[in-house]
Amino acid sequence: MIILSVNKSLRLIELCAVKQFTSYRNFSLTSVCEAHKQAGKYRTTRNRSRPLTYEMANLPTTIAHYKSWNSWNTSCMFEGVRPAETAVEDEFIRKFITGTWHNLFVSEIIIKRQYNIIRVAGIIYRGIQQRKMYFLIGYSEELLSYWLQCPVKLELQTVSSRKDVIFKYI
Amino acid sequence: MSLSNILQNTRCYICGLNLLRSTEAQIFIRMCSNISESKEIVIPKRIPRGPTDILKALASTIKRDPTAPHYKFHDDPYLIPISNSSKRIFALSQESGRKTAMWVREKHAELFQHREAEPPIEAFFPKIVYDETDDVDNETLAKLIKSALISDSINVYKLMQKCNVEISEDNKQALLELLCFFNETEQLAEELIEERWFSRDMSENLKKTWRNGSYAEKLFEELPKNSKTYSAIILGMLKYNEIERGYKLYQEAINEGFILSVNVYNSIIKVSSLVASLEQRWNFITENLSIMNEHGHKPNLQTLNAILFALMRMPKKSKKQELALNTIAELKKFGVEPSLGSYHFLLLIFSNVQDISTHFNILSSILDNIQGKEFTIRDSSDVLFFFTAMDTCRYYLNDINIAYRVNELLWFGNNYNLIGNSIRESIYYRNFFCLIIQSEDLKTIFKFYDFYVPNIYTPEINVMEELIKTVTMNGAVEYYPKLWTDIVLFEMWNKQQILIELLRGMVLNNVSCIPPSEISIQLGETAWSSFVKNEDSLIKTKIEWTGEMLGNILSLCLSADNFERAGKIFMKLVKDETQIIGVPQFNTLNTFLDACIKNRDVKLCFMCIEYSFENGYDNVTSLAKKLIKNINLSPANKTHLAALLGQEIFKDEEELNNMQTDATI
Repeated sequence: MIILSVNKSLRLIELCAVKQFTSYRNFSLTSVCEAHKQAGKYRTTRNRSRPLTYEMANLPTTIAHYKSWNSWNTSCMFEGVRPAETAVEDEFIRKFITGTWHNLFVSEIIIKRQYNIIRVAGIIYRGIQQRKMYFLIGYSEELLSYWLQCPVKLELQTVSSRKDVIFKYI
Repeated sequence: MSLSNILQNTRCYICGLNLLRSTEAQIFIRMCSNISESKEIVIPKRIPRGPTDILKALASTIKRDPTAPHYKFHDDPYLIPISNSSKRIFALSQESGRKTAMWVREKHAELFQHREAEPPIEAFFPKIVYDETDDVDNETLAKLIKSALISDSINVYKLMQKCNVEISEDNKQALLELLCFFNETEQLAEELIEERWFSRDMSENLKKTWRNGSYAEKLFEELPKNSKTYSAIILGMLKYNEIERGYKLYQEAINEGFILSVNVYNSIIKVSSLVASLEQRWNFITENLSIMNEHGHKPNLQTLNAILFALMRMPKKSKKQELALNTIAELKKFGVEPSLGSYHFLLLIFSNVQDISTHFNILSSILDNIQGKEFTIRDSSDVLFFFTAMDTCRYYLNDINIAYRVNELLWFGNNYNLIGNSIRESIYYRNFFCLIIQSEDLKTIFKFYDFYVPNIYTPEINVMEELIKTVTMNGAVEYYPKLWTDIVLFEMWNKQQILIELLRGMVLNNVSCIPPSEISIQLGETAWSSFVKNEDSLIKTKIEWTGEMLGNILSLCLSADNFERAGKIFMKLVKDETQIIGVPQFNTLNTFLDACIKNRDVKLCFMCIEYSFENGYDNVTSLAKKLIKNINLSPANKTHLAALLGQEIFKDEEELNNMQTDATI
């Protein structure tokens, strides 16, 4: 249950970890658990009007098959460092970006860590003028660097319509 | 698989390899033989490497890619700037965002006290504010001075005095030097590169900006008088144009027998134009050089540049050219190699010479000297060279070949770092492009245009105008649509002179035929879009349409066989008749009337004739006659026409009718 309360992407990584861990202990999830799994699934509407992005349309089980992770780091690998801190920081970055770029992100926020650099990627809607976007880029990069004390870079792609990212309606 | 089989396969493989890569194989064999032959292994000497050497080596593998925007911009179609103003605005907006973050950090310093990185990185922490409760010592002061934080250093210095902490002599001297160097004004933070790059401050500051009675002066009074303190205060005063007092202190120091630092002598030479009279100036310089010599200083690059600067300020009729060349030759004996800045001054010294060949000689011999060399900044004036050189190429020499050589030098190695700032860069390219447009054929012009525009350089309005004129002169119609697209991207679509030139050129070179050729259709499309773009824009300062411009659009639409659009343009002409300056050519109206007749639009025909009548064309009757001849007018129309132009215009028709009736009779 604790696992389920953490954010979606994290949950997936940790789920994998739990799976590994459990298999090592010769313990397996029962089919009952599998059947009640709700995370990362979207309910179908009667008139099929719920828009889904590609990321949302694919179930969490298809990670590494049809879609990819939202957080890229090595903290959960063998001898990886700062797993908890990384998770909390990633959550902080997500909250900060969604709040700063209010109503502009139309995709998940992807956080990639390489060496000491954090790259934050995503797709945004062209809802504001370019120069305001540049202001926000400068502001987010600088403030996040102060907070996380490492270089932070934003890698954004823009779309002219919110519909551009919709993969299907359910 | 048997062993022999395997062997055979391997052999086949090796054979194939030999055939394919025979040379490589040979090299390999040679290498093998070398190894067996040489007995002693010579280990090369270790090359000492700096911490960033590997990064520099990596960076050197990447060249500026003209097809991509500058790396400071976000790589996304929406976020890539094209016009000059957007380049500036985007970069500065980003920096403004960074400054906001800095402000947040300073305002809420208590929130940013965590230490995440190990070892801690100072640059990410908020600035430390010192107050009376803090323990301040010499070490803190030294650190602050080293990081050039002026007001903080003064604060800590005062605090230390208050708390009776003994301040070391070194620190006092360092503080004095810091205050003198920056004139006690806080500097633009080092990380704000864009603000520096886009600063519009081009002029050499000749105003006195030195702060009288400043803390530096007080500190100078407090400190024991010696050569170091004198050097610092004189340098500060001279740098911020407090010449009189600076010079007085200099004389004082010399009289007291202090040996000042070499920079002081250089600065004194540099300001000689403000100290010594015209006749005395060269003597003044030589005197100071001999004092330098007495004090055991060797001249350095700054001495050379100071002398050249002083010579540049000399009047036209002096022998400054000769003196400058002699100085360079003389200082070469001391091992002073002139920097790019020296050449910049040299070009300016020679700029008064009327004779073009001397100009040519000086720039080409400078280029002979420095072609294919890589430069790093050695003097602050080095960043002026490329700008001045291209200026000379355009205004004095008018020689494209030498401009190519200058450009080649600029793009060699890391020389591009010495372009200066954004203004100098754009002026450099403006001169370069004007020269290319003047002297090259259209194909070459567009080769350069495609390479530099828009990522490295965006042409200014006058350059674009020149380009359009050249295209017009060459009659290269196919370039107009492309130019118009670029004009829209450069945000020049509402500039009067650009539109006038473009439309005039298109009309001049357009060959109308029936049915319209593809290029005519394209030109019509371009002209129409230039009209619509300006009509639909929400910008307050709208373009002032002239009769000629609208007439040109009209005729282009007609030649593209688009009567509907032509009608709209004509309606604009009629509707805003009072605001539009000038009238279209008669020919245009004539063709328009033909088109109206062809399309059987009697209303427009009448409007056309009325318009021509109101604007006083000579040949209105010919238009009316044409109308009468081609269209059977109703009686009401006929009376209207007669009221406008008199009954005579029906004369011909009546005669014709009469003749016809006669013939039938």
